[in-house]
Amino acid sequence: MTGMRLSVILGAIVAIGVLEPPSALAQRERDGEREQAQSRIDTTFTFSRTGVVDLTQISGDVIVTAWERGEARVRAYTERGRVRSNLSSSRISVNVERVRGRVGDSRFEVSVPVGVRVIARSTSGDVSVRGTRGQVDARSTSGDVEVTDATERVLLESVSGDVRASQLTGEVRIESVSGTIEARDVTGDVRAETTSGDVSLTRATSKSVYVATVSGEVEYEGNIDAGGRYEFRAHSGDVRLEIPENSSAQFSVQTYSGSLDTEFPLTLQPGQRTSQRPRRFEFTLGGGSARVTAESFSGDIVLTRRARSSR
Amino acid sequence: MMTHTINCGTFDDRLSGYLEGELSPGEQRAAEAHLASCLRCTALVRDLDAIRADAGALPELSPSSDLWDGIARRIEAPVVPLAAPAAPIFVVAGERRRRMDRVWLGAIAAALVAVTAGVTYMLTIATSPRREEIAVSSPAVVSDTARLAIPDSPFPTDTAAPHDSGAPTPGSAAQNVVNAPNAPTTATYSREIDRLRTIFTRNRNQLDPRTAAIIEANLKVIDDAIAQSRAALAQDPASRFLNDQLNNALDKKLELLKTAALLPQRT
Repeated sequence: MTGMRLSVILGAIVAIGVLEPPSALAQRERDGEREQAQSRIDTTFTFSRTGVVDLTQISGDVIVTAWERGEARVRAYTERGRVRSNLSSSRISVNVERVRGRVGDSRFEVSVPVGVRVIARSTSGDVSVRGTRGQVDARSTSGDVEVTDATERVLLESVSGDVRASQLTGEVRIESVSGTIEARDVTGDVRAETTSGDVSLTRATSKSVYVATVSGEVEYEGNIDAGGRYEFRAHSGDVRLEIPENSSAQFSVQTYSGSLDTEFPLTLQPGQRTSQRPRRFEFTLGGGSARVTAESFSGDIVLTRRARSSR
Repeated sequence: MMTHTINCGTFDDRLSGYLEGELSPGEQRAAEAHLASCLRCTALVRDLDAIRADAGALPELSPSSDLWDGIARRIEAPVVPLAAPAAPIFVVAGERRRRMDRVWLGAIAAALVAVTAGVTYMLTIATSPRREEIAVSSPAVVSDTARLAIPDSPFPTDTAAPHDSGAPTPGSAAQNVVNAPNAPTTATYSREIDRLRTIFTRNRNQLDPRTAAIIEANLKVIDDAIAQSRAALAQDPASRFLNDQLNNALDKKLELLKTAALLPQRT
């Protein structure tokens, strides 16, 4: 049996040698691309600022930091598994392979030039990406995800861990199942959703915001842009909005069994009762150019003014 | 003529060849003999066949013309010389396993694409001809997976006053009425949620138990929200707000099941 397996492996190696044209091999060598598998890596090499970093962990943390140098440093180790890497001047791919079904604790620490695109995943570890100022796709199943200073397209996900982000610019999408979502200093379109966690957006500057949770709470502190659309939804959690007092927006606020507490002037329509269900209020501030929707089934909705000077 | 028996692991290894009709006659006979006696692999092949059939029935989509620029930029990322590369160590072992993982991941991803496209397609078909009419005249929903058509207006008028008496209670017959225009949509949602639930149930043992428990707990949170929305809708069937709440909860359930179906295996 062992001999048969050996012959299969040898056959595969021969086949690779036969099937891959020499020019392709030469090209790969010119690109400096090397596939490796070992328990530990620590290497530094020239890396493009428009390159892509793709890191996949099973049981351990992924940490990506950025620097101004035009090179990358990759440090990775695993206790029982094997670190597989594929490194070139435009792409870094590192993941951990199980050995006899086991992998043990692992850790990836990668430093890259500012501007690279980062894809980072861990099943049970934390994922941290700081200062890359490029696209980031960071996900963990049970660990936390923390990202600062990312741009263009930012996708952050965790199942049971928390997601914390700051200084994001561009199209931002954050999802969690039971973890908390906290995002600060976000500029751009934001979509944040969780099932049982809370969602907090602070110092947001956006024309399009969608925040939803089922049993968690929603907090938004940010601008209301003329012509923007803002949607905040919860089922059993409260929705709290702190918005500029000089906002220009049409508001639609509804709760089935919760209450409404607002610092903004509210005029009831003829025949409208505050006790009827669902409790639904519409009012307009300024010219009403933006649209704001805040809804909760059983949670309260709280609207507070933010003085212009507080930002 | 002798047929060698194979186990599920071997069948998994040969699955792509079986589906593509690329097995040798002996391997084909062994695979069919295994399928005749294995519920797990039979269900797997049936699911993959269904996915392939569903995907084949989807309308052809054309990418927007501005998509190519972004793709081309990534393909053509500049290459600069690599300084001091480490010595290569080529590894073949484990490649086959990873290839199968990719096959599985691809199959699940294809299933989810088919699910999403199917639901969207059915919603479009079910709601596009008479959206306003449906929004006004079809307040009752009612199976666990129903969805109502909601017009695009950002601030829909809540048409209903609370019912004075005789309001149906949760689980009553009124809740189980399915309006004819929404029946295909209802069936689609029901089918897709059931399908994703089946995938999650099948993979549950492969997940970290804590993660699986969190998924279950959050499905319960969503089911509670669905039940509350339905109970309120029974009191106030025309409320668009409550319909929205129900729809959001159903969408959330579908999304969570998709997430669960794609979760990686435990460590």
